[in-house]
Amino acid sequence: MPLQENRAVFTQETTGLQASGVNLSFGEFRVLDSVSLTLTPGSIHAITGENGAGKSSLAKVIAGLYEPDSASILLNGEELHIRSPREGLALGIALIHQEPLTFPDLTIFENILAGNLPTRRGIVDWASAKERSRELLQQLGSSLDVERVAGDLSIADQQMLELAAALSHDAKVWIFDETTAPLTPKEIQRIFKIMRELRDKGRCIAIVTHHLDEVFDISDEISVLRGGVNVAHLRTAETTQAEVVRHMVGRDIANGAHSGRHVDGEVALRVENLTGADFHDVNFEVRRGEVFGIAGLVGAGRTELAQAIFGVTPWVSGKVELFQQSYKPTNPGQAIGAGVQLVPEDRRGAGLMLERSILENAALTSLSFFANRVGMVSAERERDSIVPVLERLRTALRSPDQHVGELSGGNQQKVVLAKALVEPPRLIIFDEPTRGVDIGAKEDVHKLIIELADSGIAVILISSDLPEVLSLSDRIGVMRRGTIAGVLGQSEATHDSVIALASGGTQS
Amino acid sequence: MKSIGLTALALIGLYFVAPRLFAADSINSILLWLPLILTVALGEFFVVVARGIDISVGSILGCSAMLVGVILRSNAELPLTLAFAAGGVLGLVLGLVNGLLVAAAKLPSLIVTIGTLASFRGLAFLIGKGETITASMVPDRLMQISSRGASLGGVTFTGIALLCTSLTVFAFLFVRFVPFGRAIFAFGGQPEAATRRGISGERVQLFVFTLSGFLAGIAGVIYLSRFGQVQPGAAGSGFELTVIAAVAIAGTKLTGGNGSILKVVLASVIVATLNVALSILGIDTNWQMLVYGIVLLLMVCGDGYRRRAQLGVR
Amino acid sequence: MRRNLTPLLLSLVVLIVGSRISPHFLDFAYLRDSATLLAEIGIIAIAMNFVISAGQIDLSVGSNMVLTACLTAKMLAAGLPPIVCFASGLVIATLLGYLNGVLITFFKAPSFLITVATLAIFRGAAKAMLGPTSVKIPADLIGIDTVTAGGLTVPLLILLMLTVMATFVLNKTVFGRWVIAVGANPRTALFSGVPVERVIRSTFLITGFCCGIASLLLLSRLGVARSDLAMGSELDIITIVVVGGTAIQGGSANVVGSLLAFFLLTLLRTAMGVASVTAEYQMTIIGILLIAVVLAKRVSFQSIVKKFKSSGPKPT
Repeated sequence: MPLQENRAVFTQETTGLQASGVNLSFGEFRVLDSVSLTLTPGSIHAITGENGAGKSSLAKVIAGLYEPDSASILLNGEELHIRSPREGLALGIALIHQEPLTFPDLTIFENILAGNLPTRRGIVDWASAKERSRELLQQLGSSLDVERVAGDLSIADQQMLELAAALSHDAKVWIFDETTAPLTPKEIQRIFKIMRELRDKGRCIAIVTHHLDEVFDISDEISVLRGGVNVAHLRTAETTQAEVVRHMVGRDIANGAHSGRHVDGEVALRVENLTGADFHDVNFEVRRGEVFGIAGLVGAGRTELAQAIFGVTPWVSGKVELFQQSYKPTNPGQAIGAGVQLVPEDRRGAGLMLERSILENAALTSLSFFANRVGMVSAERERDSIVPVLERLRTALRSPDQHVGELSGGNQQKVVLAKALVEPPRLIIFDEPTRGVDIGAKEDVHKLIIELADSGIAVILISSDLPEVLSLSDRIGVMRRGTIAGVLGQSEATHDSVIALASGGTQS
Repeated sequence: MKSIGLTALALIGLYFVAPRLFAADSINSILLWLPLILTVALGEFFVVVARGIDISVGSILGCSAMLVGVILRSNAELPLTLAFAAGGVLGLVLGLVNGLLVAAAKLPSLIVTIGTLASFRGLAFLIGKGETITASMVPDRLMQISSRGASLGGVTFTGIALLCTSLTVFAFLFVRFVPFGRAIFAFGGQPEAATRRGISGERVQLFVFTLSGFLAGIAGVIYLSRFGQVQPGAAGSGFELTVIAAVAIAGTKLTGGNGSILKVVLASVIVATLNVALSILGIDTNWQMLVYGIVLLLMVCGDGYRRRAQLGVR
Repeated sequence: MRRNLTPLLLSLVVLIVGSRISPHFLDFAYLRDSATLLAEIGIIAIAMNFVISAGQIDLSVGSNMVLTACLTAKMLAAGLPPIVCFASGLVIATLLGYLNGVLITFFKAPSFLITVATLAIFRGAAKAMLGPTSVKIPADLIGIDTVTAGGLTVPLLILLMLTVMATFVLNKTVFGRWVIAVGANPRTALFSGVPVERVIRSTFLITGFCCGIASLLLLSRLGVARSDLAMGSELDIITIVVVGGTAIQGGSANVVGSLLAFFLLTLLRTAMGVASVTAEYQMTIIGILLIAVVLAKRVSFQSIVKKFKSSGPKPT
């Protein structure tokens, strides 16, 4: 009974939140198997694990978004049955999501207090609503104008609104579910500061993340989940990253150093003074066989640049040459026709059709490849071309006719990769290829990127995972505020030099 | 607001074409149309704000007019408040059916209300056993609240107009000052964010469709009072188009989350004026559908055009 | 076979009930002629599979058919050569359908709003043009519904032919796969090189063309055009598509299912006619059928993925 041990080690009190015997399944798939978690007031508890380990699901069960098959959840010793976020909030349990959502047409103060407006005899008290939301933002150190319409706030500001909303409920239990993923390092530090303040006020804090740097930066204790079961409960001060990784993966992982490849192919892509809505005066070139990394903060314009080169959005001025030929796609179809592929950042939203089969998904970009002159698709050619690609990527599947939605995050990503590889491209752009992917699949993706480059394909790698960019790229273009602030060769590129360029020279 | 401005300009233009439009008797005809259109448009407004569409309102109106007609036919002494209550309750129940199918069963509201548009039309026949309610069966008391009232310079402010005004004021206050009214806008703006804030999307959907049904039910009694006759196949048939046009002219965001009651009132005035103008200009009623269609198309395209412009700026 | 179970089972039920009401019910010629009366609706429903599986809807189809019929009848009545009139009719209907597609893609507006507006415009134009009058067509052009080949009437043969073609196009061609992809996830389709907007316009074009075919058949069957024909036919059409198993939110198509659902509707309408159920109650029952089928689908779907749905799209 690990639960009993945990309690013995950390706390004997009945305050805080104790979840035990949490069982959750989706259909026949067991997501959580008698998982337990104890949140103690005044302690930040990191919940970590690989993708698919069940950490987010656990958070959602506690907040009432998922209904568990069975669970016992005690808050300050009292048994809870939370069936909706509404009931969770009423009990003081707040879940802060990875992607903040706002009401675009409502003012900031109404955004903060939606569902929780102050009233006097049933009538909304607008004056105190404004006052209250101003106060809440102040507590968070934000100076947003509460009367402005939320419309197009930055992700970090939207996140502030969610935090202020949770604060307005005076939440006792705060669960941060991958909250930091879309934020810049500075914004992350701001959130951490808020977390520490909440902790010092005696709130229960849980942070769900797979970024170990963050785990060790902020947490007091760590729970590791693997395959839907508790595998470890550790004190942060008494453990190491290596130990946590070992628990997460169940084995040791060697961090692959840079291969030291030598690139001297012809120039595949030359971008000159490219300017669009979210980027300007971008200059760089990529050679055949080269991995060109693009680093930078979220919002620096990396994804927008990639999508412009892929023909999703138009650019305003500047020019692009692909293998010495002028190149200006007006839609992705033309880009694909010219031998360019993009593995998009938003896997579910732009990469997959979740309710269609693996085969159909993988074939979508190259249908004409399997079709005869009148546009009839040959099912045989389709299957014969796609199955080997899926196998090469070591995609774990029951059958190619299975729905993509049933696969894990890592395997879904492999289907997206397969789409781009059925017809070998001349230039391939990876946008955050390993975000939300478990460590095993991540290694596979890294191997694939190097393989592709070795076979003479030009590769652009956009990633917020700095070690990833550093270890895979031959050269790194660092983007800042919509333009490439500098290109670093293999010998110059280090963690510090990239960060310095990305954030404007203020090296910390 | 731009759409309202433009349409208002068009109305001023109409003044020069048909000055008669602004004579007292024309204004009286506009005031006869307005309560009918506005009452149903208010309900439709809430549905659209909550990201839905209710095209069954015309059939609900027909059912309610029929039911109240049948009740009054056999019971001429019934107090009018009870007549309105009967129409309102029937509308409420039918709206609840829509609401349950959308909120609890999570079906797309377009498909649900296409289905109930048909089913409720049949119900109107069932209620009256297929017979028509004629003016002789409707007590004068009911007809009079559509024709008599406080008069000012030949313009009559009828009982029905009073009823509709109070419904509008209620709706306005509800949207402005009641937390649940705000929750509808929050849900329409971003349903998932609303769920996170503890707003129940199911409750919002159930409420708006029930309200829309209730108001269409009240409008059924207004219809009976105004026309004095009910044909089960015709009463309210096609009315959804008029009402959706009004909500669209009001600049209500057709993808949900934004809109204003005041603008719905203005837009309903415009639509009612259009109705009267067409007849004053001697334009055949056969042209009405075409005109509504064009107006609606312009509004939908204008809505889209603005969104396009926004996307372009980004 | 399993995915066509709903219309098959329901057809069986109606067949049994119908045959108890009237002995003529199981007569082939009688059923054939009943089906012929609805063939125009069936033809449009087959085409509507393209629009709906691409995640769109076209409410203007009935109005399109009627406006086209009225215009064609006017041309015929004016003495233009029939072949010219028919060709123009097909072109007009196709353009009206395409217009929907153009408006939807250009203004990025929801298809149901655009097509509610064009529903009113097309029908309104027919009304404005003809009012309560009707236009007769030359007698020698009347009666295509009575011409048979191989035991089936011409409208039914056309319906079968279109079913085969639509099944082929949707399942076996690049275009068909594009249509499904656009319905399943338009953004993914875009990123996969699918010309999304062109595909959407094409689906409306196809539907418009089939409205043209249907309007010519309607004209020849009735011999006369009026502006109030086929009122509310979008109910029948959508019911056929949905009962046939095509997902209303897009991303899957079942044309054969639609054909079966067409027969179900024929049987149902015939049985109700035999039982002297009036038109209004027939409409009511079809409305209930539509809701019952989407409801039944939703309930069985929900029982499988209840938890996924309630939780939003992102279990990491």
